[in-house]
Amino acid sequence: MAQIAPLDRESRWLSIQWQLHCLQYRVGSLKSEIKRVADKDHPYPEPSVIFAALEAVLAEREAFLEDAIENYSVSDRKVRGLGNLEPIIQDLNTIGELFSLAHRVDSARIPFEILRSLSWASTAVLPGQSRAVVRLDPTYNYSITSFRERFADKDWLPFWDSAVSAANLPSGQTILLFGFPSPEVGSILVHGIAAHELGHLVAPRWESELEELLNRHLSSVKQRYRESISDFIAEQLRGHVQGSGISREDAYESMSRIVEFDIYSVAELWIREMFADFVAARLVGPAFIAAFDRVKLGFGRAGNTHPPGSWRRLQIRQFLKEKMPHVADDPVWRLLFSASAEAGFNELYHSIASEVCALSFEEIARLVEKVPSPIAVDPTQLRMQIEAMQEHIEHLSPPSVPLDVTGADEIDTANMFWLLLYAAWHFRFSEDRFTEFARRHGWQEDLAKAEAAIGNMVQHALESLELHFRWKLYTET
Amino acid sequence: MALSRRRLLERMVAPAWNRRLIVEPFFRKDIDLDSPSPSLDFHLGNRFSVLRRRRATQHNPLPLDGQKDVAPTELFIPLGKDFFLHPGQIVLGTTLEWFRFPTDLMAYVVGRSIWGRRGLLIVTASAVHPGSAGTITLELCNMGEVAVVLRPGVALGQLFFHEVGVEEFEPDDRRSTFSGSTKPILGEYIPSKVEKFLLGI
Repeated sequence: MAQIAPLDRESRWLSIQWQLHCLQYRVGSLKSEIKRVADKDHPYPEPSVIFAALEAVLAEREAFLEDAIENYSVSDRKVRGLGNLEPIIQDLNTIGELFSLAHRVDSARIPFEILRSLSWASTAVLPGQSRAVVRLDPTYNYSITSFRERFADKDWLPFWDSAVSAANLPSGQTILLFGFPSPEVGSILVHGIAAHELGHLVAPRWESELEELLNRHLSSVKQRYRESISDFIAEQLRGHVQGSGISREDAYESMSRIVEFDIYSVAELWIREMFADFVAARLVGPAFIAAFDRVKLGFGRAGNTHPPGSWRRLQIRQFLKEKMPHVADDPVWRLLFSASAEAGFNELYHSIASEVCALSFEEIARLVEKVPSPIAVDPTQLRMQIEAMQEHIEHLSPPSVPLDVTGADEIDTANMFWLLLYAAWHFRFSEDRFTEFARRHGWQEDLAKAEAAIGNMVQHALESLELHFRWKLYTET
Repeated sequence: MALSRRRLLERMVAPAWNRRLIVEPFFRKDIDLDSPSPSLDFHLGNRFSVLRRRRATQHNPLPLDGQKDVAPTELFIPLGKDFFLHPGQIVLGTTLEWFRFPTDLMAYVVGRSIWGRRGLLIVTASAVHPGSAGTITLELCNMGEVAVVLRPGVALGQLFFHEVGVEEFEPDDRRSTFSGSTKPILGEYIPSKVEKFLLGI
């Protein structure tokens, strides 16, 4: 490692030298911490890929810093080729952030049994192969992070691809990090939310279509709201112009740009939420709403990033009514749809976004039809499958028993993941059946235990499905 | 009388739930129906609870004086990886299979001699009661002088099934603290009325 130049009297250099020292120190700290965690005996190899890729980026940054210091040492008090330190600071922050996401993926509390099912479920809807890793989030938050995407965002794909290749994984492989609330670690049913979060990852497949329909509908809605938007801008300007030295026209133009940008952003985010909701509804029906309710208490108010929960429920119900009426009309789900929609939206951005969503409804519903769905099937067939699984749950038996694993198609097996979650939540909402189940097994005073038992059966079913699938392949080759 | 394999397979497809035995996963193709052995193999699962000496200095499952019991550390060992059981060490493991017993069937858990001869004990409370459901917790103890290498998926023992004369019971009417469980847990000590009396003297 290059030696840091001795302290100089020139304050500018002192500052740069100190910053370089701090950066070099940070690189060293990150390096040793990543190595410490990477050297642990992880149950599965995926985290090693993440750590190897991060170590490679760090090594490159370290060499860059050493070079900068070396250059200074031999130059005339100028740090040649270093330029602004900001990009490297951001890089180190991103490395720290990605590492902090990945470093707690080995807790024995994690339900490792379901990783393969999550991987298959992800691969079935996303381009390229996906592997799942789970981390426990101390907050009540469920998220999915694609490491390949995060590396691509930073132009670090070569580092990622080398790490993937060194681990003998298929090229283009991504690792999806499922973060879910640590207090819910025993609740397998909460993974219904994965359907919605995967919906967000599916969206880039139809990026241009989504952008086009957003622009088209937004422009027509804005036409109708022209007066309200002008009033809104004027309202925002009140009190900002006087004494600022900016002309009223300039201020208006500047505020118009901000408002236009905000209107676009809110409409885009709402459209994306609706898209993810529809994907989730195709994968697992209303079960994902039940899982959501467990993590995010309450129906959720309208915000600039998310439409209100009650409004979303109505959209989802409408979507199911049109595309899968046998699911929408199933009385079991009525509790989830009982919320009434807000009478209207008080905020301009929300009113516009909701209208853009309403106009986009049909087109988005058509787009998501390309996502494979285990419940968009013949209603009788679905009812029989669900009934068979629920009968097993009722008798404390894993609901995988009646499923027929062909061993031919991973997608089929992935669909079974969603089907199991659908059946489990369906059973939970079948009030009489669930109550009788809890009573019979002595959990009537503690329904959480009854629910945990259902989760245990689903978890065991998912691991059994993986083993059945592998056994078929093993015995048929 | 122990049930033959053919009888056990019939029980697995019995239409009535009060007679149906569930074993999941069950690798049907691997079962030799002509084998005279009246048992089914079970395999080692992925979850272990290691009982380590930390702050607690003694096992005290009795709830009477509220002292802490030894707290187990949970481990997950995936298929394809090894777990080393050291001499004198006791850990809790589970079966890979989930068993659901009808109310007229019970079983005894018996270790395979290939392990026993090397000093491995796999179970102490060997009876599985009618109506039980879940994975079976194994008490794995190495009585030998060198470590025993265990790998999830290995066939550790077998179950010998027996019919019980309780067919008049309502299906699923038996309850157990461990019903529906997938993890090896120490379990809560629930004293009977007689125990409460005797221990309270």
